[in-house]
Amino acid sequence: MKPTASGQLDHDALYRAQHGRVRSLCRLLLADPHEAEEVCHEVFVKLFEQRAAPPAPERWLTRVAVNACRDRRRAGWWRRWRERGKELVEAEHAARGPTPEEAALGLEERQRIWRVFRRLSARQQEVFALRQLEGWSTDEVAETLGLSSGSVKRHLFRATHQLRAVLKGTP
Amino acid sequence: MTPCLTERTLMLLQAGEGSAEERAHLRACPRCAARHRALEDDLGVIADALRAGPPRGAAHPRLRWRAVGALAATVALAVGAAWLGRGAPVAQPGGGGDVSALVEDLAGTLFATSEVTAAGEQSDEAAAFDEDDELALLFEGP
Repeated sequence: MKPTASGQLDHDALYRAQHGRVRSLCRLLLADPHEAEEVCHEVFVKLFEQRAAPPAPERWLTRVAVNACRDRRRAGWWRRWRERGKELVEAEHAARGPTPEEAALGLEERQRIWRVFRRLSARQQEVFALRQLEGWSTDEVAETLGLSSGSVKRHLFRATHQLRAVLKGTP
Repeated sequence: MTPCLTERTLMLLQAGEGSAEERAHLRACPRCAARHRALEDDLGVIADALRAGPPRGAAHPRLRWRAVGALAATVALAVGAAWLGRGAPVAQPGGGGDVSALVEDLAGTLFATSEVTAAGEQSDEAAAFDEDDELALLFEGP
């Protein structure tokens, strides 16, 4: 997504192209559909407030989303305590519709993967999401998260190691 | 041939990192190649699971906090009930209906306890005597 010739952002086009991706990332990092929607909304409000186009709008959106999710996790403990809890419902998150057989076979494994993912540190979650799910390079992840390349590799290794242990049956 | 690759190196290679020497080993060593394929398969399964979203039962931390809160509240209620009920009389079938007497007895017990606390000098024997006395009075009935 590139800015217009005048250097102005095409907000609508960017929103259409990136909203789904940013929302998925927020859901992954927050595991709460309502909070993810709120944060996603905040991110695009910040984007709309930008008059000049950021150098790389997609990266800019991702960085703002990751930071907003981190802020939300830090500040949200009292909200989580106060507000009603809501068990995560599969239908609200499903990106594709698995067959009943797939659902039956994969549900338990998916639950275990998600439990381990939730137990990873925030940094490990962010690095794993950007590197393995978004397909970013190590250097891009490092620059976006403000980490060294070595730290990204370390977080990625630990996250991958713990997540793979689920599949081996030794979480 | 160089020694087989560590798990960490395999992950780095999968992430597009690693040295030329390590890549050469990966091409030449069937064992490491198989481990590398297994790693890619596992990462594919993990990525699919995460992209599909959290299933029911993958409890959010807030639910765990709610469970802890509910447990703490239950324990607090149980302790409070036990503390309040330690001197309460047992309701008698024939003498029921005299709620005011029950409340008076309970208030008397609490009041006596406050006095003991305030005085701070009353012996355990005296306290035990008072409790026995109270119980005797309670079971005498109207």
